[in-house]
Amino acid sequence: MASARRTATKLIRYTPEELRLVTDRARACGRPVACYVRECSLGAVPKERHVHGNAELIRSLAGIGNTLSELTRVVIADSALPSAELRGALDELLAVIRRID
Amino acid sequence: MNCWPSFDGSIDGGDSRVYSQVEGTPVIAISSKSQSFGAIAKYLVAGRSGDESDRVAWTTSRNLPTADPELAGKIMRATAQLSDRVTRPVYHLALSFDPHDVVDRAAIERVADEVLHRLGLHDYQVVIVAHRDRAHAHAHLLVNRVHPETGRVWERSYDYRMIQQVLREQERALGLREVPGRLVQSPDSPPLERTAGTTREALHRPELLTPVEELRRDLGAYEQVVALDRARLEAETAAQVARVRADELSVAVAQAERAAASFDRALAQVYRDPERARMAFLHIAREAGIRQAAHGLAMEPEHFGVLLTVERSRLGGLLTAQDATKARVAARAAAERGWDAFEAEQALWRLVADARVRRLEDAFARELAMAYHHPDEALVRFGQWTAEHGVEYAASILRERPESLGTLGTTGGGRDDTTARAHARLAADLAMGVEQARREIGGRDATTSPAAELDAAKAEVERAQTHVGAVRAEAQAHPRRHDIERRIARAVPRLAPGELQHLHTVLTAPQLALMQQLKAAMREVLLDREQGREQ
Repeated sequence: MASARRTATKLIRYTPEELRLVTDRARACGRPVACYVRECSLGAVPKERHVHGNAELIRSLAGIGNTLSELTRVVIADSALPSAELRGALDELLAVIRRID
Repeated sequence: MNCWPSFDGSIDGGDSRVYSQVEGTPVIAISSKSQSFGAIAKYLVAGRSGDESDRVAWTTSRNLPTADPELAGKIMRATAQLSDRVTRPVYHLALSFDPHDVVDRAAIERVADEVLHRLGLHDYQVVIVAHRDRAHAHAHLLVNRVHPETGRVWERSYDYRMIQQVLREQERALGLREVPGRLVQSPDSPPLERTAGTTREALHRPELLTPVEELRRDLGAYEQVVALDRARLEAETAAQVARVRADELSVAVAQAERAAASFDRALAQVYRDPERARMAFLHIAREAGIRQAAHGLAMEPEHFGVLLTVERSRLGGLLTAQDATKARVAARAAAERGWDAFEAEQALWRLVADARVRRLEDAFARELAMAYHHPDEALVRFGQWTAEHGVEYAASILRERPESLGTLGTTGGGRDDTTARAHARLAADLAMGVEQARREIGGRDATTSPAAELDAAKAEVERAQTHVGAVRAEAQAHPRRHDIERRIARAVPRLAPGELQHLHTVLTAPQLALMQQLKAAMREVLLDREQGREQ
């Protein structure tokens, strides 16, 4: 059944609130809305995706780390400026990311 | 130098991808078994056993603050959560150099950067891990398909072809040994034979056609389908027109018959011989006009025949007299019916003449289509000669020198135009028939009758419907237009530059234009879909 081509369509009408609810649930499961509706209607129960709790924090720190890394490269290229402090700050930042669960 | 791409985030279910490309020395890539950035990073650092830490020669990264594969994997996993839909965020590439080639880190990074840039991955997070555990230099690229800022997911469509192209270029640029590839070959390498059943394309293609041949075949089929669609529309329109003409004629015949019957009934109330009166009425109407005929019938009905009378006794029954008062009163009503009947008959004859002209014109166009390669051009020239020298001259040219109007259709290998000349002669006769029918519009002395013309119109409806059925049946025997469009639009971006060049030599200009249109249309559809997803 899964390999068969899906050619039949079915229009479903929702209220805006219902549609928002369905969309949120589909997003939480990491599924397109149509896939989510189809799977639910066929009896499957899509599981919600595990979202890393600190993902946003890690992303922010990684962004800062990228900037520091870039600065370090620039400073190294211009040998007149000291780069050790920047390198130290970057290492410290990476250690923080490493400790985050 | 070879490169093996794979999705490693997908391999929980064994989504292994096998690429075979080199004749004689097959290079096979199989995606490794792992589910996440972390697992692949660990594999790249410590190997399958977990204790091969000395396998790493060096590491570096792009758009990441660290070159540590495991820490980078953690950051990439967090970044991948920007997309709530991606299930396979990992893209894994392995770049492998020939054992005889001596390449340093700069060369490997250069090739890696070029591959990433060409794939559109230069803004994405990448860890590059070079290994020294084999005789040949090789490096792995661990790529996050989710953009670190936009969260957009990179699609790998047709990456293999693009990668091969970059590798061939870099081999030449760096002076490395050139590896013959099937999709992109170096200028000096001999052409490779396609191995049935081993290539990605062959697995998806029922016949062993080259991409160019397949595209050419699809474009040919598409042109046929488009032509059939047009023919079907034209046939359906012609059938509709024929039905309308037949209906129009049928209604006019019925109206004329009703009006004539009503006139006859009215005359029966006035004259002893209504038929004779009707003939007299119509004669005057044609000679002097319907107004005068109607007026005469209403005011002086005795001029059209002997009136019906009743005997009336006078002077207490001593005398009898013939009284025609009732007939005279009825004559006024008969005059009105006569007027209506005459006009209905005139309208019918005009319609009959019109229908005849159109029927002959259609037959003329059909014969021209049978005679000429480009009947539209022949029709235009015929019209010009008719306007300048008259239809007789144009018809004589069409009959005696049909080649003057355009290229005649040929049979028997392109030499025999006898059939086309016969059709041209018939078309010339029909052109004269059209001219004569046009002259007869409005008159009764046409060489046809309403009943005959109605029969001809009904026969035309049947012919048109039969033609529609035949065209529909032929169209159904072909693939659907939409399916061919999708195949073409998908096939074009897969072509290697060499194949595209070859394509330009084998396709006609309209086919090339069509191919570009379909490609652009498909891109629009995909963009719309992508925007819809974002919304």
